[in-house]
Amino acid sequence: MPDTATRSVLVLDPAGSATAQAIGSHLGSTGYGVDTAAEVPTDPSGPLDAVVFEPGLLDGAPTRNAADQLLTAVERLRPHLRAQQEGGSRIVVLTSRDGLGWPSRPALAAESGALVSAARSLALQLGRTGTTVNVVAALPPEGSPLRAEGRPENTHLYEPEALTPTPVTRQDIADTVAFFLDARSGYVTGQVLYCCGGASLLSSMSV
Amino acid sequence: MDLDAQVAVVTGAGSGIGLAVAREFATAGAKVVIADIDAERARMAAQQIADTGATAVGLPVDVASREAVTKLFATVEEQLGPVDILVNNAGISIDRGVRGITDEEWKRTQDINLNGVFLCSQTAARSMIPRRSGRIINVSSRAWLGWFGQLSYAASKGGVVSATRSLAIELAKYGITVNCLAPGLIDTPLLRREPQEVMERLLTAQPMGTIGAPADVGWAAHYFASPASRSVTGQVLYVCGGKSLYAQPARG
Repeated sequence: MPDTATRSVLVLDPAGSATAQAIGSHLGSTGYGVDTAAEVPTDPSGPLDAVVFEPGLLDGAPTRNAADQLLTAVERLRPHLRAQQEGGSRIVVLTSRDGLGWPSRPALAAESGALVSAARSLALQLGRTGTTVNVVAALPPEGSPLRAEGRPENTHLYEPEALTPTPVTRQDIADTVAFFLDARSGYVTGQVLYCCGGASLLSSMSV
Repeated sequence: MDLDAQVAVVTGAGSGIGLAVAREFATAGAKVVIADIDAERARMAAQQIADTGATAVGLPVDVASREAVTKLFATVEEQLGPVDILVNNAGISIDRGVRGITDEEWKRTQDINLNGVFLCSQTAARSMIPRRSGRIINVSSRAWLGWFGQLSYAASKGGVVSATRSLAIELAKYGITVNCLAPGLIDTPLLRREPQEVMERLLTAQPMGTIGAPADVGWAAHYFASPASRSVTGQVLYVCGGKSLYAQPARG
């Protein structure tokens, strides 16, 4: 499925998350040239085909102001993104399904929601430059510390689970990122794909 | 190839987006069925794909007819095997506002665009459930969000979104994913009939300043059909160059 020959991607991983590591590893194994950094490099090498911003929400990182971080990073990287006449570029932002609202993680939910709003605005802002901006909103994957938190106190709820037969894995998330990064996804921008085995469907906010 | 030997039925595949989806699937190794209300168009499209060395069969179907849909799936199973991937793409658009649309036009739009999704999805699901796998991809439209003069079309495509979500919830436990594509402006023969000034106005309203190709939708369908999307279900993916974010109406 991949069409990745010699495409360069920068994975921004401020929290040093396991999900970012899995995404970088998957992209590298499918032919991308991958650089991973905690911060925006002062001088990225060569034009970038893609940027993945993974602030660590899915692994419970105590991130604050993730949307500000995203906007600042895009501003700095903008001169280095591959130009429209050369095929354009891709930005993919990782957030959590918690953005739909979750009682035990309101701060994380707010960060996720803000990232979605920022990404949609960036998609409109960068549309004419040939840069697409999309969001993967995932269920905290198998292995995430969030999955071990148990039931939120004083509620009737339990931790959301995939409706599909297998738990959501970091590989599933990496596969969704790879779809948005593909050169053939150039007419898809401002979108949010929930990689959650259907768990998002139970919220009206997911429409 | 990630769809190797999968049997894929694409309705309304005689031309445009449906044909692009069928071509994409064939390139990925699937055995494709071009199902179209026009039998000759289905046959010719299938022949084009078969000429590339892929397996392709053209079959007639009126998706609004229970009898025709049952016959289609029985023929496919007999010739190629049970259906692994269904793309509900067949549809019509009658662009009339609330003052002008007739009962017959409203009913016909719902029959093809929405009832067709129900009939084909139900028939496919009954075959997929015992095998505990399958992919259903519905083609809605960005227009389901609402647009001038598209009352019946938008309502039918909104029904497709709703059907997608209910099917996804119900079929998830069987390993069957159900997702929806919502194309925006796509370069199809229908669009090319628009006058130059209309095209310019449409382009101005596009956030990316471009019009998509049928192959853009084909690629997105490929993603939803592939093993890579096993944890993605019930989603609506707009292939619209950002128009779903904000569709600027003409001023004045």
